[in-house]
Amino acid sequence: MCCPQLPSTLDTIADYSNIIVAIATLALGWYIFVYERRRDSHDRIDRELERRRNIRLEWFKAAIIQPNLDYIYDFYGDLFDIIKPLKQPGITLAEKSIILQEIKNHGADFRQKFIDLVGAVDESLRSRIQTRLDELVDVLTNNIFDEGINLSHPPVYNEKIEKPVNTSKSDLFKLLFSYEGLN
Amino acid sequence: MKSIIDLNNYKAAGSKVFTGRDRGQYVREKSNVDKLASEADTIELVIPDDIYSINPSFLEEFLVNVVQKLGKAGFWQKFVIVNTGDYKITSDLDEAIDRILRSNHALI
Repeated sequence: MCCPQLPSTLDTIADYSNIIVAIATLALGWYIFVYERRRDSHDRIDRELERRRNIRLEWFKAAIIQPNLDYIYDFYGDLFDIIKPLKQPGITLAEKSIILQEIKNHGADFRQKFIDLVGAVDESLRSRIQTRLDELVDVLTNNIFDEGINLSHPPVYNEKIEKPVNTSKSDLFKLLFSYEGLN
Repeated sequence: MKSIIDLNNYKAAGSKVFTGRDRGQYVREKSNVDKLASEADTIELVIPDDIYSINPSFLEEFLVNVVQKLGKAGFWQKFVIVNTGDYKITSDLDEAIDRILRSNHALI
């Protein structure tokens, strides 16, 4: 009859190691399960936000931008016509005042027909567009009545009057086409 | 009780125009128009005779609190515009008031 062998130290270590590995595997599996669930939940939220953003962008493009693209181009085209008389030599203060009032009326019209419409979709974008347009009108106002500026000199007219209008136009399109549909 | 806000007191040196939101805010604060509108029965707003333009950008910021509080009708009841120079402020003031009061309803 053979004496029962006592478990060796190595066997004991191996047994405990197996237990530890099993526990660690369970814990890791649980962690991965929880992490994946959380990630899936975030992905769902992101996808929903993306979906809503795309809806807003589509509305913005279809209901606001597309129908008004020609109007925006016409706005600036007409504005160039309004400011053209400013380059005439000998233009009087009264004539300048009339031209400025036309510029302001034109801007007010644009605000009512387009800028306020943008506000129906995104107030922040509306505000930025209005601010940009106001900056243009203010620059033109200051340059028109600055007695140190001779607008009948073509380079001065181009720099002080035409260039701000061109810059305003490209800034407006930048604002519109960089809109991402987010509030 | 009548109060007077004379914009002659807030002209920038050598300038014949009032433009810009920053300037509007500055004059709103310096003139105490918000406080005066609460306390006075009428406010006389004096427009300088030699001014060329007072732009809506300035007016919108200058009067934003007053117009939001009083509304258009209330504003015109309280404010008396003294405007004897060649430049007439009415259309710019109307534009500024309309902007302040426009309603904003988002589609989404």
